[in-house]
Order: sequence, then structure tokens, then C-alpha cells
Amino acid sequence: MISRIKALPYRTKKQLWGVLFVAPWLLGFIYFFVKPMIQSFIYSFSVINPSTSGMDITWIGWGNYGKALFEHVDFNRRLVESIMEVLVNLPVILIFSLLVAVLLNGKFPGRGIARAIFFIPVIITSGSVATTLSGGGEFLRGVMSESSSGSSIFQMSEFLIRSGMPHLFIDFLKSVVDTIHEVVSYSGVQILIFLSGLQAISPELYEASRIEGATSYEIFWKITLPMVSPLILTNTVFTIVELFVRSTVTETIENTAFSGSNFGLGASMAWIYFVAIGILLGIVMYILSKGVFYDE
Amino acid sequence: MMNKLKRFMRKFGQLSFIKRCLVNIIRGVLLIGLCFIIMYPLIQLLSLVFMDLGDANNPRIIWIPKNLTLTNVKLAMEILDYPTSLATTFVFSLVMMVLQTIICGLAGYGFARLTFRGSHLLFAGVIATILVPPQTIILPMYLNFKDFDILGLFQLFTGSKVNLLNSPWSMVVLAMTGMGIKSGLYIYIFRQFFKGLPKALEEAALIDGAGVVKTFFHIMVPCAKSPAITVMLFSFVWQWNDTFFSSLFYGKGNLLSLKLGKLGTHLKGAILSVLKIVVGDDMKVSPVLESLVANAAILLVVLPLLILYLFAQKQFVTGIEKSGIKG
Repeated sequence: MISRIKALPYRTKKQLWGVLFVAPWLLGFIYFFVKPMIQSFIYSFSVINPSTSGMDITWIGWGNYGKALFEHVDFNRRLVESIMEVLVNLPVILIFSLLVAVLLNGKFPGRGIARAIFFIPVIITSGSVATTLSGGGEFLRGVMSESSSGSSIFQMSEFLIRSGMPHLFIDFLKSVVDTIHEVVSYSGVQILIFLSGLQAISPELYEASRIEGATSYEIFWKITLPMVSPLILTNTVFTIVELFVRSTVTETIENTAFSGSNFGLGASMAWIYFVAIGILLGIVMYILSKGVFYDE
Repeated sequence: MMNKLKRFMRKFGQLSFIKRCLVNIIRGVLLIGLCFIIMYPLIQLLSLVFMDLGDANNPRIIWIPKNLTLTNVKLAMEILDYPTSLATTFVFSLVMMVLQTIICGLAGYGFARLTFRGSHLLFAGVIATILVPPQTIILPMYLNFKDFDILGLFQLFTGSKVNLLNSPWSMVVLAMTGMGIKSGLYIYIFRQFFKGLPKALEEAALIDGAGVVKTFFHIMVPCAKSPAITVMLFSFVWQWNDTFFSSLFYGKGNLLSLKLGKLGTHLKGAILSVLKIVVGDDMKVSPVLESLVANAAILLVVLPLLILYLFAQKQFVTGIEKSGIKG
């Protein structure tokens, strides 16, 4: 048996090993993904009542979907809002994180510290810390505004209003200031992924192009960008998913499913939401994948 | 005229000097500004942690507290049951990190280089696991873990199905089968990395007589240091901070994130019950005290990560610098 496997051509062996390498994941995929997906799909068309024997599932067809889209108080509004937010923030985050990664990749004094700092949002703004900061932290903000007599943004806008600036301009400034913080704290992972990609570009490429007389501007467009282009794809996927996961839609779904214990409706919302992400991502990936360069 | 000026400037190297200065200044301002935006909440945390209750109520004290106190930290430590939960969280996150990195690395290599019929379709499955919000599949999964069984094996041997809820095993099983927190993303990172490696590397190994396994362990694994460290950092940090999966599958676990998550609603009661032990109940629980303690708790949860990151950061940077294939 073993000798027969050994005698197989390299190509076939490679395929066999491929199946083996992927096998643990495949097991989990079938058991912890496909199966729950099918179950949740069935739930989304049903009304579910807990009973003595477990669950009572009654098929009601498209009812849940109709409810989610047309009857629920704010599901459809939140869905549209989060799609718009993703469309606006995606290019901003991608460009910003690439810019910062290029900046951090250069040689300058204190770059170790700067790099360490830029990854901190990944630690702080994820999970329980973020929720405690935003939930329990309301006290905190109260304390801060008490002790520092009003936030500085408010002071600034008041100052600008008094000095006779147009309201529209002030609003714009305020939104920019607000989003800067958001963009910075959302881009930690993306910066890191870009940075590791930039590090992997062999310095010979840069050297050669310098000798050929390329300017830094040309080097960026002709070498850096194509070499990190696979990572643009990675980051796009990550950004879209992350933005959606943090959006208020997931909150609505969770509340409906668990707190409101209307799991059928929750499941149908989750499915609508999933399809929306899928379509958006498909379009963006299709556009981007034409520009990706693999070193093969 | 302009051209002449430019030629003149270039001759004396003036233009490039000015340009370089300008670039440096812009870069410095940008980086310092952005660093400040990131550090602001942390500085705020630090300033509030050792702040006395009186100082917090004093409008004239903004950043630097007059009277330093450890009361907030002590209270938070007591509420979080700090030493025990710190150890539990650390070990648990470490185990999950190792499992996820190994499984996702294998799968990533398999998808990138050992393609077989249908592997592209399966990779679409990986993307699907990234995209599908966990909310969609959480209830069926919950029920699965309540009566856990693989192909009826447990029922065959022990006579009943296993309840994996509220045990770390449910999370371990998920990590072992590549379905842990953000596993899909890790597989994606590994696959993108292996796909980017030149094919000549593998061909050279084949010519030298290395099989698939030998190629993987002797050539690919050392090369993959950079994505591996990235994935390890991510998986450790996200496991550490996770409340969503942990609270559903391992709700009674002694995890820091869970305890911190519960603080939001039970903070007042927790402080009251602890106060009697630590300082006696001569202090009343005001919202300001609550916020100070919440602050200290946040810092206690984040601090180990920050310290770890301080060490891992160096490893991380050298890791990515060495991993690029030279020549």
C-alpha cells in the first residue's frame, strides 16, 4: 500500500497532500458552518417556539423576510445606512492605511515607537474593552467633560461660530475631526498587513530602479503598489467585513433573535444582511482583482 | 527661466535638500499627530487610574492627579478576581493561538499550493466563513454543542451525547477545525502569502528530491515566519478580548473579557460587595467612583496585552524583515 502511494506521480501526491492539509478545516467547515447555515436557513422561513422536547419549528414561507424588510422599525434603514458607510469608509481606510504603512516603512528616528503605537487600536478598540468604554464609559465621558469643562471640539466649533464662519464649513470640519479618530482606530490591522507586505519586497527591486533613474514617485506606482496589490485585496475583504460586523445591523439582529427571542425573524435578517455583504464584496473584488499582480 | 532655475538649484543640490527637509517635516507632523490621536484614550486611562475620588470631582484637576491612590486598582482587582482570571485567560488564549496558527497555516498552504479538484470551490467556502456574520449561525451551533457528537461516535461508546457548553472544549474544538474566531481571515492571510512566494522555490526543492511534506516543513515554514507572527498576534489578542463566542460557549469561564463585559451592568453591586472587604464602607458608591473603577478594570485587562505587545513587537518587526526572500 505504502509502496503504491510512493509510486504515484508527484502531481497526484501533491493533490493528495492538499486534501490532507485542508482536511481539519474541511471537517469544521461541514460540521460547524454548512450544517448551521442550512439550519439557520430553515429557521429563517419558520416560526420557532421552545417546547418541552426542544424546538417547535413551523414553516411559514417568506413571512419573516417581509417582516424584516417592510415591517420592522428600523432594520431596513440601518441596513442602507451601513452599506453607505462601508462605501464611504472603505477607500478612505484603504488609502490611509497604505499611506501610513509606507510612512512607517521608511527609515526615521523613533520608527519602532511609532510602529508600536499604530497597532495599539487593535488591542484597545476590540471586543469587551470597546463595549465597556462605550457602555460603562459613559460615566467616564461624564467625568472628563466635568473635569475639563467641555470637550475641546465643542469649544472649537463655538469659537468658529462666533468668528463668523459658515455653518456648513464648521460641520464639515467637525465630521472630519470625528472620522479621523474612527479611521485611525479602524485601520490598525490594515496598516499591519500592508507593512508586512512592504517588508517582503526585496530591496534589489528598489536598487535596480534607482540605478535606472526612477524617481520615488515612479517607484511607488511601478513597484510598491503592484507588489502590495494582493494585500489590497486582503485588506478590502477585512475592512468590509469588519465595518459590517461593527455596524448597528448586527445589534438589531442580536436583539431580535436573543432578547426578543424571535429567532426566525433574526435569522431572516441575518440572511438579508449576508446577501447584501456578499453582493457588495463581489462587486468590489471583481473591480479590484483585475489590478492584482501575483509574482508567479 | 524656470528650467534654468531648476538646473541651477539641482547643480547645488539645493532642491533635493529642501525637498527632503519638507518631506521629513510633513512626515513628522503627520506621525506625531496620528500617534497622539491613538494614545489619547490611553493617556486618559492612565491619568484616571490613580486618581483620588476627590480629585475626580475637582474641576481644577484635569490630567495630573494631586493625591495618588491605589484604591481604584485594588477594587478593580478584587472585582475581576484578577490573579486567577489572568492566568486562565493567558493559558486559554495561548492554547487557542497555537491551534489556530497550525491549522490555518496548513489549510492556507493547501489552498495556495497543493490545489486539487474542487479546492478553489472550497476556498470560496473560506471566504464565506469570513463573510457570514456569526449571528447567522450561532443558535444552530449552540444547539449542536449542547448535544455534541461526531458521526454518532460518542453515543456509540458512552451511551449519550456530550454537552460541551460551558466548557473550554467547545472553543478548542472550533479552533482545531479551523472555525475559531476569525480563522477564515487567518487562512486567507496564509494563502495570500504562500501564493506570493515564487514557484521556483518549490521546483528547486523538488529537483533536490524533497517531497511535499519536506518542502513544507523545511522551506515553507521558515519562510512563513512573518504571516505566522501576524496571525499569532491577532489570534492571541482577539481571543483575549472576545466576549461574543466566549459568553455563549464558555460563559462560566474565568476569562477577563467576560468579567469586564459583565461590569457594565453589575458594577455598582460588585463595588458594594467588595468595598466591605477592602476599605470598609465609609465611602459611598457615586457614579464617579464607578467610572474610576471601570477605568482601572479596563487598564488591568489591557495592560498584559500592551506589555506582551511591547516584547512581541520587536520579534514581529525582525520577523517580517527576515522573511522576505532575498535574491
